[in-house]
Amino acid sequence: MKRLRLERWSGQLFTARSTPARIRPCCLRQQQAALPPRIRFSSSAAVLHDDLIMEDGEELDEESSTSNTNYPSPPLEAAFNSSKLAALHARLNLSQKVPLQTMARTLVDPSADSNADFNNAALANLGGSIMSYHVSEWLLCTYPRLPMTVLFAAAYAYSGPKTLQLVGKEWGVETAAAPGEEVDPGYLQFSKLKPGQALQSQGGSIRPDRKSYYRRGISSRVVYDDEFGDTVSKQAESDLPLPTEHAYASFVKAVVGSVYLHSGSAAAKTFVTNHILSRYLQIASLFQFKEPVRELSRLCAREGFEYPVARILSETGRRSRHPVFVVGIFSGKDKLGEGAGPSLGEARTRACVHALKAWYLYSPGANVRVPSEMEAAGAKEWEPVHIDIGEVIH
Amino acid sequence: MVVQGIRKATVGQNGVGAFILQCKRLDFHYCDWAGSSKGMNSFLKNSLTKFAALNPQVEITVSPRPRRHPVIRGTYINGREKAICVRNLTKEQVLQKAELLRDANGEKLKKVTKPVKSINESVRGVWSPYHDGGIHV
Amino acid sequence: MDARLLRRPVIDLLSGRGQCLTSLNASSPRHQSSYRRTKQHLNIKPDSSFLISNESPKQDHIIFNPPSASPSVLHTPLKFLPKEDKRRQLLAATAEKLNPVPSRLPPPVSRKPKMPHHHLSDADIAEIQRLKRDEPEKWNNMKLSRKFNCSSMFISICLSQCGYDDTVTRKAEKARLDGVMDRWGPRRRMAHEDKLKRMEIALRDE
Repeated sequence: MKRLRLERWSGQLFTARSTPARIRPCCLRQQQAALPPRIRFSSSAAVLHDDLIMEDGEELDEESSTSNTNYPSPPLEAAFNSSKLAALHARLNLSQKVPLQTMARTLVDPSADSNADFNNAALANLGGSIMSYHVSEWLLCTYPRLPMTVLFAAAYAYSGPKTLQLVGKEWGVETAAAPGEEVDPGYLQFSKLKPGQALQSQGGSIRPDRKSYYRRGISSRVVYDDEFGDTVSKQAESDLPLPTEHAYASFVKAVVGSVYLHSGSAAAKTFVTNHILSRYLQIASLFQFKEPVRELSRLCAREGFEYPVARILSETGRRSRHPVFVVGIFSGKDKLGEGAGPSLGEARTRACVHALKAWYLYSPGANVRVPSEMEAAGAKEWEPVHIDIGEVIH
Repeated sequence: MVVQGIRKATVGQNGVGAFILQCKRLDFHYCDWAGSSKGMNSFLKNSLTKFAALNPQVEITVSPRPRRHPVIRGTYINGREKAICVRNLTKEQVLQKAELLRDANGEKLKKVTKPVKSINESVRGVWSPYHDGGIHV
Repeated sequence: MDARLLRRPVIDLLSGRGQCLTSLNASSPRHQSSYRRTKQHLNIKPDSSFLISNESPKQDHIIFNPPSASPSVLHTPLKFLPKEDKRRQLLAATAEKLNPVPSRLPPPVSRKPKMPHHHLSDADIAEIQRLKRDEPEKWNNMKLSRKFNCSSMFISICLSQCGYDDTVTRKAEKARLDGVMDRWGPRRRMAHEDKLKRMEIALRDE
């Protein structure tokens, strides 16, 4: 079967053009009669030009007819002619209040169009704050005892760039090969970092410590760094080439921002809950302990529990090649955790890890109220949620 | 720093929370001349507008494919494609095929033996031979 | 909770009463192995709590028959629940029935569980530091810990402040251990590496 060159016929070549004279000639005789007169096709822009019969020889004089301005991103009018964009809008089930022009703007990264009036930098900034607010309030209310490092990791797992790239791809958004005026507005437009090229340093961070060897403690990360505990670059917006995951991340954030602007905070919260917080994460797998035995004994001393003692619950094959010990950690007469391992030391370590996770992963319930629920009209009176004094320090 | 966090990414569960239709795009290819495209052409003239209005999530393109059988080709979010040849089918049958492609998820067809597929951890836990003490009432 | 609803798991019943099919208990000859027979052997009668009998309660009820599995980290132990949590009362009410406090606790892993006793005064610590400073060769950490009845960890913490430079002895000790490891064969070395890897995995709880 002969390969169809669909790209040449439909879609992006025609949509961005406003005048028939600017259409690049191609050896296709358009079948006008077979098409319904006015549908939301991507090729519908082409349908409008009634006498579009061009052959190879009829080269149109492009230079004479093109306008002299060449924008780095598609014009706003193109948003109405893009079927990709309309389909994306409908796929995300956005309300009609969010216009297509805004959707088109969310797909233009600052690295494609540095003009702040046409790129998504402002929307992404707004949407990123809203998303991280909802993610962190949900995490803090659902797992009030999470250590700060694990809280950073959980926030990264829910709203980090890697996840947002997955989200954007699951929404069916593709990237344009290169940004430009002629690109269909339904594609994500950014200039991609070449492989092997290092990320440009963006003028240092906003942290007050000058030297790189200064210790970055957790408390200082809460104050100075972003929601994942990474440093914030001093130069907030830059139009340098960037990795794909960052472009997708700012697109998803910009969609949240546009939902917030056009439909309000309740709709933005529902959007974040449906698309970001509904994703699956085994939060117990985010922990990496260093000295669990000592940490557990410090925890018990802090909380006033009795000193934790490791006790053998059961064992098999002690003198064999593959023994298994099941060790429980007891504080007084209460069992805090248990673990199985091929040696007593490993089983005790596992039991301590289990007990510490059971402490840190305490949750008042899956449907715990979060502060933003108070914004709704007629909300019940706020009951204070459980607030923990923090992780164990030793 | 005592406990460290391990960076991971969450896994999407389509339909839990939001549902995204997996069919991204439907291409309708027809031929003006050949008789096998008769039903397809009638579908394009009469029903496609309604079909497109009912399914705004799907991008729809129509293009000629002279001297070939008519084809509907679906492109899916997972990157795969599915094509159905609709030669000699009537208008209603073409609509059925289009709906079939719209509802597909793009994966290869496979036998579904278990009614429920879940990545959630079992609430009863994984069976372990070392914990069979049981409860003595 | 109704005591009758708490049933023993299947394994208990198998060992105690003859509830399973006879084929399970019968010692099957070797040559009888086939898919059908294997499936038949696994065909165990369900636990009696799942069957409807005249004794079973008439209203809706919960059958509590937990499997033998290691407990989940998401089940917070009663001791770890904060004071205001509603589960405290619920768990406290059922705890006696579910996990009766054993009269004798299981045996500890180490014969003498090391509790911190905090019995050493400042004078004792000064004495430890003096002994080490005066006769560093004679008083190593083990001897000091035995003399003062404390852990060698505590001794090392005390001595880190006494001004005695132990880099030479540390180096010598490390060289000795490296010499021992160099004499290891491939099997012992591999076993050692595996052990380290397993501990890493245990700290991630995988």
